[in-house]
Amino acid sequence: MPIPSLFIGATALTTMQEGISVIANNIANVNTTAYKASRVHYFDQTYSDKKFGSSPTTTRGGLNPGQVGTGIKIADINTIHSQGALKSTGLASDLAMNGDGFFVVTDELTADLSTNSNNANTFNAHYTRNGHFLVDADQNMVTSDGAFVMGTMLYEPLSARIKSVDSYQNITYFTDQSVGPINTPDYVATDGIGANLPVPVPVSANTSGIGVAPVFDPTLLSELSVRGGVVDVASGITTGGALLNGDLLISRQSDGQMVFTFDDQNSGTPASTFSASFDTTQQILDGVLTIQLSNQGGDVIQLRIRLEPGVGSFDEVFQDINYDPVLGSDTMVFSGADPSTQDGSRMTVADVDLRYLSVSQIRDLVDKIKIPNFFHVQDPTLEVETIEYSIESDGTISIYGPSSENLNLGRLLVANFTNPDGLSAKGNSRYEESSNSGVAALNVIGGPFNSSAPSLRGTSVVSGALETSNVNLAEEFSEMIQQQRGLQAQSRTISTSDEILQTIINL
Amino acid sequence: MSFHTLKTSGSSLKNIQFAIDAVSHNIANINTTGYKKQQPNFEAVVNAHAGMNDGLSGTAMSSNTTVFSQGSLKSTGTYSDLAINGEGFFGVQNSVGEVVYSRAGHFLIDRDGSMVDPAGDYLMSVNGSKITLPATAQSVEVGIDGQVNILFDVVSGYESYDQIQLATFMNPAGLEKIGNNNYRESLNSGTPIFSTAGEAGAKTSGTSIISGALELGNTNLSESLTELMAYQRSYQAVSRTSSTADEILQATINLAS
Repeated sequence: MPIPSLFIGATALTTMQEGISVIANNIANVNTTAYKASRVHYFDQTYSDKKFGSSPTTTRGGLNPGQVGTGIKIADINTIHSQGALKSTGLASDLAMNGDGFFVVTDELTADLSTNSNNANTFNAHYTRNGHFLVDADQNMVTSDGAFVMGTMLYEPLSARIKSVDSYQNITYFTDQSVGPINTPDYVATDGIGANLPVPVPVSANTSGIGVAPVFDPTLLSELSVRGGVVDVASGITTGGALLNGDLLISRQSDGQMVFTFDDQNSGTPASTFSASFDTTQQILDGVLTIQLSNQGGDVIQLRIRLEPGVGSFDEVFQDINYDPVLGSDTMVFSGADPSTQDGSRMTVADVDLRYLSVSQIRDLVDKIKIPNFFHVQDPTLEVETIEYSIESDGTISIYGPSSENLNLGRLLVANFTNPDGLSAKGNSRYEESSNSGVAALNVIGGPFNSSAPSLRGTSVVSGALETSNVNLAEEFSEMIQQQRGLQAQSRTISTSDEILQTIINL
Repeated sequence: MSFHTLKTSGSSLKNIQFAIDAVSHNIANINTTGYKKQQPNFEAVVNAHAGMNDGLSGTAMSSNTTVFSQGSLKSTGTYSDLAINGEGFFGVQNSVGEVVYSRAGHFLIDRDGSMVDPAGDYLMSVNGSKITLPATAQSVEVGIDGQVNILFDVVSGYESYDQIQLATFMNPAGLEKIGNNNYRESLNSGTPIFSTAGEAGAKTSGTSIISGALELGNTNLSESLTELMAYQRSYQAVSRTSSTADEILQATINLAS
């Protein structure tokens, strides 16, 4: 004879044990930063009909169904995302989220985020309320388990190479020309979108006579200004100002190659009078070449090209064209021989670096947060050391120099979910998007970064504080007592059932 | 005759077991949100055998009544946890589109912003549809009349958005229990009468919906444990009649020998 009550009791015992585990985990995490308490809820199990109900008739009243239940099961274990109290720590890198939203962190930052992506899936994002962040040796802001903290960054700091290609073989810069000293024109190349010039890749073709520089991504570098004129890179058509003799024209070929052309006739092609057209009054022996690249916001970036001697009678190792803001030299010096006397000489572009020196325009590019050691303010030739940084209540990250120079680096990225309870907890204070949490809506606090996401106007970030867990010990203990008494009562139904079995056996 | 006693006690034992099951179920659900305890009732069964004059022949379970007394409220601090204080049931629509009824107000917000119970059933609004909160909502509150108010903009304040429907029945004890804290309309429950909390003239006129609280199960532990003991003793006593009848049978058999 089966005794249902025995199994009702036994099932309830194990089910309530789960409930106590949830409470134990809450109590264990009472001091865990930004831990969110979980709560178990139960459902009654299905019922078996011992007697069926019937509807009233004219001669007889209706009868209620007689049903016996079969126990209990877990309905859900849900996380309570209520605000935890804030605890002051005094460390600027400790952040507390006050209000809705999660910090966005990632372990794997392999995707190219240069397309200004709002989609968290492109960088395998995790979400956390634990704002105990640190700065690592590479100046990245990281979580205590080493994940990058994400922001909408305005620019990448000076100390980081943005794009670098180490070696360009067989790229001739000057060919078969008498290279004269080059005057110092204010060449400005403009990236029509943002200051993010793409990675050059080596090419070996040399089609334009004067020189072929590395390939840039043709989709990004759209136009170029030279002395106030603007050259459409694709078509080579110049508007707004005439090119002057000796200007360095950077143009893009249909195959995507960038061509650096020293143009003496404003025609885009070198002429035999090339060498004669340079201003040779200042420097006869030393050629000086300046290349400055900037985006439309007037932000100065650096193109560093190192040239090496190639075929011909140039036998010196040329110095780098190294825009060094500290030294203030943005020149390349041809030393040794008089270049104007050299025929058929070649130089090879050995190395191309692009760097941002300072940016004044918001790029709003989702990227990991970096606190640079040095930065530039207005004058790109002036580099100052980062003395301290701060994070404002709206997530704005600012760095400060020794004479209260400051630079706005960007803002913290904040994720919001339609259903935060639906997030899947991954441990280490992290959560992951689940099928029922909704897609992460990335935004900056109160900001216009992503107009389709809630603005989180009620949220603020508190620097120098951490969010404590929202575990309420009094509540947990009363919950535990309640669960424990429930458990004891279950054991009572089990022993009763056991005694009944005993009675049956004794029959 | 003693055969009859044996059968009588056998049927009684079976029914006492049902009662113990019911009490065990009540105890098992002591921490289940909105659970309503079952009260097993017995009736004497008159022997149907013609010509026998031994009258009553055991017990049968006449009903296992659900006791709809108010459970006490536990504060949770989550706005979507709703407790009904007074008469009425929430309507929830399950995956096959059937509306069933529940006192358990532990609702969650799903990915689409809809209010659902832990089994994923939609909470019904007065419009007879699910309640889906807009993604642009900054904050949500639920009033004691079940009015769902939404803050879109701090400047304009809370705007009323939807209202939670409550259902009452002529005979709630007649509802069929289907688990997951849900009840289904049955032949004897009467059809649901829809209203809102505090609606004048309705059965729910005295009802309020408490946001941020849950109704606990109404199982009374001391009462249930006492019942358990009483049924256990009954079981033992009835089993004693079985053994007595058995002994009489034995004696009868011995007479013949």
